Amino acid sequence: MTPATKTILCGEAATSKRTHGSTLCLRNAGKNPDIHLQIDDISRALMTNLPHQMVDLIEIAAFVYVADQFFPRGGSGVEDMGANWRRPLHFEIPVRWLDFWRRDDVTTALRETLSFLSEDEYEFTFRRYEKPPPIDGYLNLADTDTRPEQVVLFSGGLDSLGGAVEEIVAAGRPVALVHHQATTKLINRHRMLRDMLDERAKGPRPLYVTVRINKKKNLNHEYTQRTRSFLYASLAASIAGMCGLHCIRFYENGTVSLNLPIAREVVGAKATRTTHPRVLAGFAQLFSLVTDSSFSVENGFLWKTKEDVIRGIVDAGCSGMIEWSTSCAHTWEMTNQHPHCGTCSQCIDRRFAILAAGAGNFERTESYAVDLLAGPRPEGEARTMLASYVEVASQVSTMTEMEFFMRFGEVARIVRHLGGSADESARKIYDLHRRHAQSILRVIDEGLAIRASQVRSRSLPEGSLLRMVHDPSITGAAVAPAAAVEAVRGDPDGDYVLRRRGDGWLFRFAGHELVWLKPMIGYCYICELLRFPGKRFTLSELLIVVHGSRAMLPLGDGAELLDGQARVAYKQRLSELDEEIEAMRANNDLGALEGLQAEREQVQSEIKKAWFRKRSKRGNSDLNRVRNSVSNAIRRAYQGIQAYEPDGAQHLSSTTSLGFNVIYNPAERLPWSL
Amino acid sequence: MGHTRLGDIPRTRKWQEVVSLISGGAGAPQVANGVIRAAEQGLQLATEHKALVEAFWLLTQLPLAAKTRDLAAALRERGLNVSSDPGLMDVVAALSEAVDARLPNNSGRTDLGEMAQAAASEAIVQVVTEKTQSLFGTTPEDVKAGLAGLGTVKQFGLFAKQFYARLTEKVLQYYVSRVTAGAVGGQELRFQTLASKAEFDKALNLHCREASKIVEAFAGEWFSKTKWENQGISRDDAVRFSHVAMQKMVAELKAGAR
Repeated sequence: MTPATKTILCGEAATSKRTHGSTLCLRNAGKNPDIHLQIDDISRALMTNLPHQMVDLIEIAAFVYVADQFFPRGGSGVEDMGANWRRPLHFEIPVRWLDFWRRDDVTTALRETLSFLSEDEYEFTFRRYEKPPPIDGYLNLADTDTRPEQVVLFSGGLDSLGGAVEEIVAAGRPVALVHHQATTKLINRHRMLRDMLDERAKGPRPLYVTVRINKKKNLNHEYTQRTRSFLYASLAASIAGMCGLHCIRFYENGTVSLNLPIAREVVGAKATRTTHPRVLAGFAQLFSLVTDSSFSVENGFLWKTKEDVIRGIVDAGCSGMIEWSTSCAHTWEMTNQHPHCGTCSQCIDRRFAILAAGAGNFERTESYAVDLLAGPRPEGEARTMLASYVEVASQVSTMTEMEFFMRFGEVARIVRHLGGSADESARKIYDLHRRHAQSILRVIDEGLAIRASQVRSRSLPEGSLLRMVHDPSITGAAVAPAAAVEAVRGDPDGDYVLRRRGDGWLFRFAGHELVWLKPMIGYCYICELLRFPGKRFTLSELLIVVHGSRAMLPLGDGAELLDGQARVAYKQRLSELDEEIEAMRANNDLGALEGLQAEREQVQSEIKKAWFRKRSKRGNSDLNRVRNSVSNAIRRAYQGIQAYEPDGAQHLSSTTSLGFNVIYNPAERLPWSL
Repeated sequence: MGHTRLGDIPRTRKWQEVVSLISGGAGAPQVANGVIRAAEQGLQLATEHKALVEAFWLLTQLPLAAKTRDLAAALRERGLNVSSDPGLMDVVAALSEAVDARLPNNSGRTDLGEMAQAAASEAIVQVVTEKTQSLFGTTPEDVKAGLAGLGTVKQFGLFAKQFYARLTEKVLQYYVSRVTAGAVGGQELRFQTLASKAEFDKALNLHCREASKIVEAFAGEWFSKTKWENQGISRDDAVRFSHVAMQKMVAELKAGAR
């Protein structure tokens, strides 16, 4: 089912102050606005160069970013194949330059770029601002003369730090670092990085442009924030435009930028496309239209692994900055002692790269709440994430190029957005991922060597990475399927098997595949019956064998509903009633006749209730309840078997008779392994 | 900025049955059976997924285009934007873009469609490089010859089998991986090490390949007959084929553990 369209009324289009249902009102001006954008430290001189369409672009990006966080993406995608992950979003936005934003090429570029970036469905209706908010309301101006030659996106993570080091320290270039301050928790860490970069700058001190988006608390419902890079890039492009530049630069390592899925459940934009080459190409196209020039959006680290990036930082003599960079996605878990959770994909990626680059000494091990190699990871996403990450690396490290492209069809979306021929780009992508995978395995191998004694003595915690990759208690290849589990634990020979395994049961019929059955008491009864084919079990016997001393045995019999005396009494009364009815009929006493016939019907009904096949029925009793309980349990067990082994279910149901006595009595004895 | 989001398996009875199958030690065919039963409703809608139909239809067009003198022109006629001398990755990328173009602004896009798109790309790489044994040494002539060779009953059957085997494995792993990756590393868990989980994944892959044999003969005959009778293969033909193929696959997987 297609999800309902969400309408976002922005700025002056937000006629109502209230957000309701699938309509979101976002006011960016007036008293108590829903969102407020603030850009710090812009030079007064630069501000004069900001054209209207750029201001429009920033506002559009801010509205999209906030709406992206407001409407939740539906569920896990299991029931609807991710249909609700993708949201139809319809924006109504006032702009300063209406003719421009209504152009087909502009709306197409905007829509295509955003729909690939976040996998949502976008529609835009633009209208002319009646009273646009002044641009200087967004700006905190500073008296700075710095005229940057390059505009670089700076998140404060390792990759963007590597980029800043390359630009400011290695090349000595005057740059503007555009930074989005998403949380106040990182202010001190970023300040430290700024100070260190200022100190090491070979050229002029960089210009830091910090952007804040203050929005009402009730606007935060969805944390994926797939459109975040559109906002950053739009701000950076605007600043580049102010400086007369036609280029902005991201710094993101190639494996993260291309972001091939690290788990099989990760489909489409569930792996972020923040700096996906197709997204960057889309940004470039849109910004070219906005600036009416040939604008480029680059990724300076596209062909580098994170390990390469860290080596660059260390080689530039900036290893001290590593500790102050922050990569963790779970900022809400952040503490001064543990700025990194150690469990999210970014933390895993970062720590592997740092160890691979031999830079482990440049950050505290305690920076991570969970140690990469030896830390215990709870079951759930933390363990799943690491297991998937390492497994993919393990696979890629041994893949030929053909196997690689036969496994990652997603590459098809990348190869034509990198310049050069598609085949040439494919080769580079393969090489990049192989190097990345090999560096991960190298870290694991070194970890195993360093902790060999702990591995051997099995003193590492369960759920730690090293325990997951090597457990000395397992001999040989511990093949996983039920048959293989059996091979390790003692294979139940034979073509006919019903055997308890763990909580459940293993079942095989006529040499077919071994299947696992979830626990049910009925299998216990069946197992006992199969053990003694032809033996007639009373319910008590069966209960004692299966439940032992906890068996709830039937205590009594409900006795016959009609005993001999009652039968005689009923018979006599019926005879009397027949005589009386005849007499009343003869007297034509219709009133009395009606009463007698009613009584006769009632007596007959009572006899019918208590009489079955010329015998009296027995009253409800423990015995009846137990019989029903055992019979139903066995029937449910048949149904459990039926789902995977219908022949087996058919055999059991046709050869077992249920009731107060239970017996399995096949015509031909089968060699059951129990 | 490369945040990746993982999901859970729902706590509904049918999906918890799948969880207990995996944690209890069931083999790949039984797990596949359990997943298909749980996901059946969603998969029955598969034929309505535009991306799946478009991906399959484009696969049928590749051998037809390769039989013409000018492969590039023939591909462009069918919506594949390729250079005049297309290499293998050029064709693969063009196919992916053509599927995207069929779903402008993500309208009608689903995870199944995404998986079908990737499976189609992977199947092309497999069939073309099977002969050349190399990806990067593949010339445009190799690509043309490789695609043209898919036009026979047998070869198209194998091609379709590759596509459906990959698609099926992706679909099963889409669900199963949410459970298996978290079931590694503990005495009480299904997989004590990553190696044992990898063995399970291999078994599941093999099972999908076996199950997709049901499509092989049917697809080859269908391709040959439809091409002859209709003088080509339309998208409507592809819709009908997809419907039947998916039903066959579902039935085969449900019978797999028996």
